[in-house]
Amino acid sequence: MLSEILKGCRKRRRENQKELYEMFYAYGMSITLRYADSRNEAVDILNDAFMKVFQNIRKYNEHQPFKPWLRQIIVNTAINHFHKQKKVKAWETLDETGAEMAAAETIISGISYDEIVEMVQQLTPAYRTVFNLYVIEGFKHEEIAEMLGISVGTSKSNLSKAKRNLRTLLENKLT
Amino acid sequence: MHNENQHTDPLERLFHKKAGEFDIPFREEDWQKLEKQLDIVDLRMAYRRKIRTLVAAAVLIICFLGYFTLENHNRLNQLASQLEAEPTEETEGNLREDLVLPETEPGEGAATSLNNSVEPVEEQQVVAEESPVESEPDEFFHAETEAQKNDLTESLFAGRQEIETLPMAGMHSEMIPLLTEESIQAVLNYKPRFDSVSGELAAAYEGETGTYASDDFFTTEPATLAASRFAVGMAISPDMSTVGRISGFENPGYKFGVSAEYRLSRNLSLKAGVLASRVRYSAQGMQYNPPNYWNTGVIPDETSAVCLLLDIPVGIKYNVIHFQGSRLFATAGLSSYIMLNEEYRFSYNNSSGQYGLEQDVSVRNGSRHLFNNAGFSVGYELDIHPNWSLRAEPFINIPLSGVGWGEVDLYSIGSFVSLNFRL
Repeated sequence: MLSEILKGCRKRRRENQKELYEMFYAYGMSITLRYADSRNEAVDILNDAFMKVFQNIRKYNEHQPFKPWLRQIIVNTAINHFHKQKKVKAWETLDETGAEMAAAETIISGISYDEIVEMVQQLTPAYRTVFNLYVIEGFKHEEIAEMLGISVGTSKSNLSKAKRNLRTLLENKLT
Repeated sequence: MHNENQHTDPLERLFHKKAGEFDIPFREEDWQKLEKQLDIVDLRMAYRRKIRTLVAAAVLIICFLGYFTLENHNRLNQLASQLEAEPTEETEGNLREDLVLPETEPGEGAATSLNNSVEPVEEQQVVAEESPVESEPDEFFHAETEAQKNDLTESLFAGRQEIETLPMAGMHSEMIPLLTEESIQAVLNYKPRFDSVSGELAAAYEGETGTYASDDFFTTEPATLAASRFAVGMAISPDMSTVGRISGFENPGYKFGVSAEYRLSRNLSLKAGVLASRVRYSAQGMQYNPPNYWNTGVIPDETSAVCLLLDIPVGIKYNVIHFQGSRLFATAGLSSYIMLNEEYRFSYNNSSGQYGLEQDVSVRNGSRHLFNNAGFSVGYELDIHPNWSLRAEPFINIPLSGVGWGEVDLYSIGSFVSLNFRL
């Protein structure tokens, strides 16, 4: 089924392109929502990623799974978007507030995906991106540093601050 | 990547787990946004296909024009060669008896008559000194004096009998039916080019070797043109290049090099060349297509490029209009590029995010792009010497595919000035 859709996408058939988009829409949005400030921004990132997918579909190796290839393109597009839309001011603001969190960590298993996304979106772009790349995508700090053009130390620091802020947000949610 | 199972932090485990529990419904309006972008890309691709089709049509039209010109030229050459064809060695059995001329002394004035009803011709008419069987077959063309030639010309129009009195000894009988008034008139009016008839024929017509009358459309070539079909030239031109559209040119570069030309016919030639080209242009972010995952997927907002490349054009040249010692021509062809050196500088609108991003790239991979550009030009050629000519040739190059490290669609315009030498 997927191979037929991809074959049609290579021939630039619109109906096959829409089928592919629908098939991986939810998966793609689950990634871009974590990198974007809002849903509209997440849609823009997703659409840019799919444009790259359709333009480079001939370079896709059919013997490899499609989902990881798609994921790589979406993450790279999100990083590119991060570089373009970086809000230094917001970063400084959050850094200045520097809310301290309680030492004890609380696990909240009942929290939904949408709430998770909402909290992640409240982070500054720099913290959010490092957090997503490390915790969700599974990259190492060295790889994150290279991708974002920062030092390894900055990557670790941003992750630490992101987790601190998320704990704060979680606590605020519970109270 | 690190081992995802090693999230010892409960917070990390929570977010990692929840990230996979998404349930996001599809929204049609999101697809419609993407569809608009796809429509733009499809329009761009359709435009490229149209350009390729136009290029192919232009090349085909010029080829057809050249083919018909060549055919026409060959027909005229055939006619001329039939008239100048030398007769083979005669034998008694091959000659018509009524064409065998009696021996006469020069200046006797006696008619060389094939039958007794012919009137005597003028004294200075060329007659065979030896037996017709042994006389030179092209005696007519070797007439030495103007008076002799004029008399011969007049006698050609005096009718068939007068024609038959000419010293046509040695010509085969099957040639005689061709010598009608109309065919001889056509031959006399036809002024063949130097490269299609012998020098003797030209001399017989004009009295000077290689000189041609210039009183009609077909005879405006200068005197003593070289007989070779080959020509070489050196050309130089400024180069204005841009990406993605025919506008927005910035700093000019240059092109210079050599070309070779082979003339298929009077109007049609094949051309090829090698040009060193220095190209300067700027491109916006999305006009570049660098290698996958270069610069961690970040596309610069603007890229400035200076590239040194070899431009290898091949094409056809068609002379559209001929003047006295000059001509207007048009060319169409395809260019291949070999990238020798590419230097790119990048700029990003958000300066704070530039840390760690590529600022410049230098590439020397000698990448080759075969027939990636279509080239068109129109020009004016002036003969400054029988073997030398000057040309002014404005041109435009249109991309058929991306070139270079960034796979950009490169448009170029300029104007060649070239000096050409006919070998």
